[in-house]
Amino acid sequence: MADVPVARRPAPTVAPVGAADGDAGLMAQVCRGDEQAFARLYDRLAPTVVGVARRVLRNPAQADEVAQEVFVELWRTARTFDRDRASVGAWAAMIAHRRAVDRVRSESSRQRRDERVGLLDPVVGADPAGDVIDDFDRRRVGRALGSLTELQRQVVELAYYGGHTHTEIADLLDVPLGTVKTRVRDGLIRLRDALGDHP
Amino acid sequence: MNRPTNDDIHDLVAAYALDAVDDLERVRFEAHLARCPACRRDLDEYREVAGMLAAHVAAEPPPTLRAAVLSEIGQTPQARPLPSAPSRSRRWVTAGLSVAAAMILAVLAVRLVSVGRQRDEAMALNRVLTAADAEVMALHGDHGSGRLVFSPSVGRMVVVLDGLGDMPADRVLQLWYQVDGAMMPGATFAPTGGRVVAAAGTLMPGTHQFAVTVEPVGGSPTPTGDVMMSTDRF
Repeated sequence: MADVPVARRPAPTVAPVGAADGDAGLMAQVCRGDEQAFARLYDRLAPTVVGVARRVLRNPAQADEVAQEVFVELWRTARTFDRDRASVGAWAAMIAHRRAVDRVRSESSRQRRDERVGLLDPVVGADPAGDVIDDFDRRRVGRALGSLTELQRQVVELAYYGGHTHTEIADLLDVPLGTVKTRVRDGLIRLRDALGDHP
Repeated sequence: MNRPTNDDIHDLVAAYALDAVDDLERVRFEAHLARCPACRRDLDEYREVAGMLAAHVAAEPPPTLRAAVLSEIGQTPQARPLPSAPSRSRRWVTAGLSVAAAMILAVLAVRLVSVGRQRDEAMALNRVLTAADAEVMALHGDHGSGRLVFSPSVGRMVVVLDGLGDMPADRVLQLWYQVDGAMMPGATFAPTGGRVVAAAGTLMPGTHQFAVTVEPVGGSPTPTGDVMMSTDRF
């Protein structure tokens, strides 16, 4: 597995990670039905939503469909967003990831999924889709991932980017389910601490 | 498949934050989450981490997506409070002390009953969600999503709904059983914070689909509101 994140791409156009304050202000406008504010929110969130859908689904056409559904859901349920509990970016990522995972696990995707099983490819610095995340944030998340043990990183990436359940991961890696659970938890705690500025 | 026992339900929080749980574990954990502040706090933190993992693989959106999204939201209403019933008669304001005392007693009585009910319900939830034969069915719709869990051995169902808009105090959600073309009324639920986790009666023989509508408090004998979400036919 690759260890170090490499920022190979041109300067970013958006900074979905570090934009929390502006996002919250836009959300307040979106809750009042402001479509222009939603368009600005789209510009900030779309790279993340599209990116996570493509990563999980590995099928750009399906991913783009999911991304559209995600944005309609964000618009529709804007009033259920609780700013005390989550950043707008984390909320959008949660909805995008959940939808992508639901899609990949649905019967119609079962075939493709079976073909993907066993793909333990590295995520760090290896996205062919043309990343647009801020270099600073990219390095920060990359460093955080790099601080995990090999097994921690494998289980976190198989779970989040691969869309696998912990039971599937236990089978894939041929380790006990309890071990996978512990590594997922320890991995997230380590990432949380490494990423620092979250409550 | 390994299913966690009740003792390690807390251990699901990290896997849940990464959507790395199966349908049944998801429902079980959400039922647990509703009454575990520690897991709630961990989950909020892990979700920020997951958000960073998502941002880490950000990709250039396709050029057509923006216009498609903005066009669709232009025709999509936001989840808003439903119209509520006319306000109550002002006569209550002038009611005497004895009425006030009677009301306090009534409220206490209701609370006692509901504590007992909550305990029964929590036990029913637990029994269904931990049953070895529990089956999960997804509910989809434009107004939220959810899961129904049914255990043949327990003979009870549990409903978990999420992403619901605001509901006025005089409206509830009602479950419907589609049986031979007729909609048979089921249990009613009041969402808290856009969510419902509740025991939902049993599986009516001959049912081939479930639906959820918004109805006046107390429920309706036949559906009067639009279908918020439904299962596939089975």
